[in-house]
Amino acid sequence: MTKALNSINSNLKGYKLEPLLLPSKQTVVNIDSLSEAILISILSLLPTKVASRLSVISKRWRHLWTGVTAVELKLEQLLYCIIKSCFKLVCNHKVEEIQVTSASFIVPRCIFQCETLVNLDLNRRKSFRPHSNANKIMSIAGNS
Amino acid sequence: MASSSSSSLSRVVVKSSDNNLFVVNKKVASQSQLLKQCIDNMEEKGTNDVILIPLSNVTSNILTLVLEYCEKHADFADDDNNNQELKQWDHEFLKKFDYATLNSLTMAADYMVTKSLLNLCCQFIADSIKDLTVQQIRQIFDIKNDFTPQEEADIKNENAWAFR
Repeated sequence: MTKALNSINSNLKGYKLEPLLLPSKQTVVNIDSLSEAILISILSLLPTKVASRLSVISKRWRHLWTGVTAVELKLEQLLYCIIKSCFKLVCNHKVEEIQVTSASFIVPRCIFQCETLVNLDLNRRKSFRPHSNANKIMSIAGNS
Repeated sequence: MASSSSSSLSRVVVKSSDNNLFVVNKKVASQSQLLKQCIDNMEEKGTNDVILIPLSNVTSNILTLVLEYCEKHADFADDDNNNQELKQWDHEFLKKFDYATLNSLTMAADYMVTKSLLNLCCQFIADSIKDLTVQQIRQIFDIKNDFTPQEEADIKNENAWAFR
């Protein structure tokens, strides 16, 4: 075996298909044959609302979306206390990154007390007062 | 790059599940953590034989694609300036495939621990299903709806915020 391979090795430059044996059998593979871990990574890349809608696809998909590692929510016209409890919830779930894209947004204090937070991005938010120095990266892009 | 001693080999042979052999440059193979680990282990043992790595889960047509990706990315491994060009290439590369190929490629990338290809495939699939309805997704991917109409309605009620 080693000898045969050595001769192939010396004859070829890069990789090359050697049609030595049987041709490959074409099998149909669809998205449902992906592992749960991969499906969850795909769902994590979708807006959370879209991901949760996919729970009705089939029984296998029923709870997949609850495993997403990123949450993207549009909070519209909510009271400050509701926003605050939303952020409190994510901070308690060991969030590492928060991005806020809102022109008028009062930063809840819990964000600055969150120990796991690595990246805080307050896009378009101009002034705030941090309460802790636990955050490692902070980016503030002002759109005036 | 890992340090290479004079006895280490510059190429390895990878065998697909349908028994085709691919001769792969070590730098290209190292794009896959699975292959890299195999190479590192063999080199630690100080072998001078050609390393043969059998991949029981990857067919040769899919392996060809993974290696095409690895080869391109190995070319760019040492410089960050061409990121834009590489991104463009990634996009063109995935655009050519149907869903079945894309899914097989995703599984192969996962199995061969080629993280950047796996992320790329996931992003591509996410982008392509984002605007589809549940019914369309079931049709395209031939997924059987195993809910009763009542069960389906219950789930929609439970997550009513998402279906508004």
